[in-house]
Amino acid sequence: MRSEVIDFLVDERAVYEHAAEFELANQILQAASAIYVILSISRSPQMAEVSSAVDRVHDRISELRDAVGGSRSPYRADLRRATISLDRAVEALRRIVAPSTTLDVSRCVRAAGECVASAASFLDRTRNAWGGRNRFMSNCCATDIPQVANRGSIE
Amino acid sequence: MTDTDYSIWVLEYAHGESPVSGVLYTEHNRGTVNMPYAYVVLKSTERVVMIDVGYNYSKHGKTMADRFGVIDWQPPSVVLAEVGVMPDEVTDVIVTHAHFDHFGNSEDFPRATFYLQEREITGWLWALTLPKQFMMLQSALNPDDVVTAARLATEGRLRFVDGDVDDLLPGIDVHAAFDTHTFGSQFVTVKNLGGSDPWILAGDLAYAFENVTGIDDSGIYIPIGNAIGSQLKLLEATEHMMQVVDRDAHRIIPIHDDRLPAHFPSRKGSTGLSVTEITLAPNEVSQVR
Repeated sequence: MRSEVIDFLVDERAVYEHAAEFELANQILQAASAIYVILSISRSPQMAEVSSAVDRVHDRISELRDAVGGSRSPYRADLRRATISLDRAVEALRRIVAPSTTLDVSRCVRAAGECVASAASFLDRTRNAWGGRNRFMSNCCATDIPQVANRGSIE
Repeated sequence: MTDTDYSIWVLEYAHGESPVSGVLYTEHNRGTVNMPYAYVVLKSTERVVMIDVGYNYSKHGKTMADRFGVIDWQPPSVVLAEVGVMPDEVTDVIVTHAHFDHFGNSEDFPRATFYLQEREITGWLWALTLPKQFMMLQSALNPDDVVTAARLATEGRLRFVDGDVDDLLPGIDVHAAFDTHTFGSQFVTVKNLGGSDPWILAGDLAYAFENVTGIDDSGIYIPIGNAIGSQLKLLEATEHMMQVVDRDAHRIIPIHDDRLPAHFPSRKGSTGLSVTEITLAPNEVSQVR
């Protein structure tokens, strides 16, 4: 029978495997935040550059969606929610970059801000949980593992 | 005391070892130096202004501080109390650049409006679009801080500055130094006594006195080593600072130099970190004597 320690380590490997997805989500969040800040308070944003950044972020969200879809991470639910929020944020930002005559810009800015905040909160929750696991792991290494080693085997 | 005369205090909030080569561009293989991490309080009759806000030793701020070996962090509530100021009295924060140890703790200043060069955020965005091999450009940036900037923008507490601005706040100018230490660094001039008593808060454009005075007071500028822009731009920024203070290098304040407290009235605070009094506005009481 596999021990709980082994189960934990296998599970932990899955956690580390999701690090790339988490990093990607974090980078997208940063980019969406930067675009949001530029569009909401800049007096004369470089629209061509911002527009190309929005396209790039949009592509990376597709990348993230695929990665999260095939993920074994225990935090995939939050990552999926963060992806949805980022997607909505970028759609709102895209509408500001390519405005139509009927567009309510302030409403889009508000929507983008809310979606960015929501994505940040989902990612923060993931990070807190992940950090908690890491701290727990460190404590295990500091105390439990030597005790296990002294017993001679892991069963 | 008028609303354009400011008392200036440099408050150390943490410290760590840093390679000399990062402080002085030409000084390779010279070991490390103790580097205080500090922010600045400016106080007039009307305002309490800060230059930078340090970082918060939690979440990713903790991760970054640990990565850079910064220790003994103290929160603003403790550090500012040394000069009789509370964080919620701070009305304005001028951010010299967006590195984690300068822009990483806006949450502790709930009433302040933050001023940042627009180029700093657009540069960050550009760096994010680059492939992974360019990640060095983001090395001292805390990913959380741009998200925090978005929150500040939502709350109407973030203002972009584009280039040099005279009297951004009464008696305070900012000067852009693009593509130097960071994409959109800036330094701050406090024009006490109507401009006849100017002081420059250099941010990270000068880590140490030698960046401005040269080694052994040679007068030959030595740029800082840690830069994502160019050494030429850093030299030009140094020259700009010297022109503003009429070539009196003593008036250019390098907050990361641990010899700063020896150059001005100072004391150790209750936590062992330094409080340095650069100047006092008329009728202000000394906080170090």
